[in-house]
Amino acid sequence: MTKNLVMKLGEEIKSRFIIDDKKLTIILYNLLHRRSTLLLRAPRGTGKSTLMLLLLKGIYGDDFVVISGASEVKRGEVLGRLHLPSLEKEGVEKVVWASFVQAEGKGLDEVNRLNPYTTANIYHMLQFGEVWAYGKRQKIGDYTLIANENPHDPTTFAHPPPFYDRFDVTVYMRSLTLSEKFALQEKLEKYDGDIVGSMPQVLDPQTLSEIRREVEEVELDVEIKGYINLLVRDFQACIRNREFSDVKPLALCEGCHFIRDVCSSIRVGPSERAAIVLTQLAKAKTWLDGSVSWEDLLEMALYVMPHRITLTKTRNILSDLRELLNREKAKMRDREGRRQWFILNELTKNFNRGLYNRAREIALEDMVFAEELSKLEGRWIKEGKVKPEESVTYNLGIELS
Amino acid sequence: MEAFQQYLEKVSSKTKVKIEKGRIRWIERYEAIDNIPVDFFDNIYLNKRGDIVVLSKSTAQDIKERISFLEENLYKYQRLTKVLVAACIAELIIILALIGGLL
Repeated sequence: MTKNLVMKLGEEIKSRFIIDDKKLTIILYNLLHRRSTLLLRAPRGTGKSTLMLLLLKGIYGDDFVVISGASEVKRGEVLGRLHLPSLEKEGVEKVVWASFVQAEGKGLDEVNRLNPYTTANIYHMLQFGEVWAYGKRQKIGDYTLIANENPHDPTTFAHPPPFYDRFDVTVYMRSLTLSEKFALQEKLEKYDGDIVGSMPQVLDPQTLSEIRREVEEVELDVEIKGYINLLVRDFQACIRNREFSDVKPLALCEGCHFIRDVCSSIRVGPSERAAIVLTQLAKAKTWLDGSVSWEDLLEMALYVMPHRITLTKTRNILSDLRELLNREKAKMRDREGRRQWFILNELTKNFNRGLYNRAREIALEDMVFAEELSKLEGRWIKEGKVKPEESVTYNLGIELS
Repeated sequence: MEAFQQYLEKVSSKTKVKIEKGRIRWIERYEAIDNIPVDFFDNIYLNKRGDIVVLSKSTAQDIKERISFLEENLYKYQRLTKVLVAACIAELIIILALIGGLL
């Protein structure tokens, strides 16, 4: 029953808005976990605000609050203001919390134009689930935050990467093709030009809360968890500790054994949140469709990664990312072919010289495997089973400290 | 760490291998996909599946020679068979004539 409501929400949006099915599906999956955040990125006039309003209206009816970076957002007003009568009459500082803080449905229009002060307040809310104003704290419960931005607009503030990292997924939107323009005109005629006003409330906060609880309880298969963690680790791993280096790829990659690997294309890797969000999306898909596959995870990564990584050369973030994900597919096939996890599993149980020699060869092909082997080597070196100079740790210069 | 160990166990359970005296032997076989081209000899002698069978020029020449040799032999045996059939018919006529003469 509740699944049907989620599907119906998608159908109602689809009947009013031109959007790719895959993007809409990801947006729906992303709504199904607590404190859901979505960022819509698009050039001006491509419908990002409309989509934001359609989603909020479909869940919260008219009970949602949108603040806009384009308008004058006064210092602190987004969160709360002082209750002046209390201050004047009683000399007590009371805070009247803004409706944006109290509403479960939150919209942020043109995030890129929010001033740094407001951004910092919202960042704190997303990070700690609380807001501060005039020395007072307010805890925030569950919410849905949908934001949009056009990063190429003038008057854009360059927000820090950790702020964007708090958004679960980013959906890029584009201008409409010829046939899509005709389709939009038909929709506008059908709803008398009032696409948002005609949008019914399909879900309600209580039902959504119940759905989110059910989704949270979904148990993912350990193999799916493995795929998620491998995918994220492949995008993070750097044998030369890129995270702590002032020199970044490609300069850092000079002479590196893994220069042809995915890692050399990534300047800044994703945070651990990428794995958390992928897990949430995988759970949502399992809840809604009954299953999730490796191919689904690759598709989801297209929305989870773009705002979390910086590539060494970016021509078009989505096509560049798609290329990296295709390389990941081949990498996973190679891993299966090498039976490397079987070998690692055997080695974790017992040291075996023959298997170790094979594992050393595999480590030269796969850095993530090399890291795990390196952890075992530390123990074997102490036990005298392996000489330090023959170890992968020594030969590849792995530092996991 | 426990979850990682569970993952390794699960993935390993799908890998069919045998470990004997420190040696490792894969016992799983890759199934050939039907639309993948297979070598002619693999197809004939190893029974590998495939819709497209690829054969080298020399193998094709060998097969051509073998077919012409077999065709020559076949022609030879055809002629021999005709002669034998004619002989049989003649023999039958003689036998019939002899039986008729006796009666």
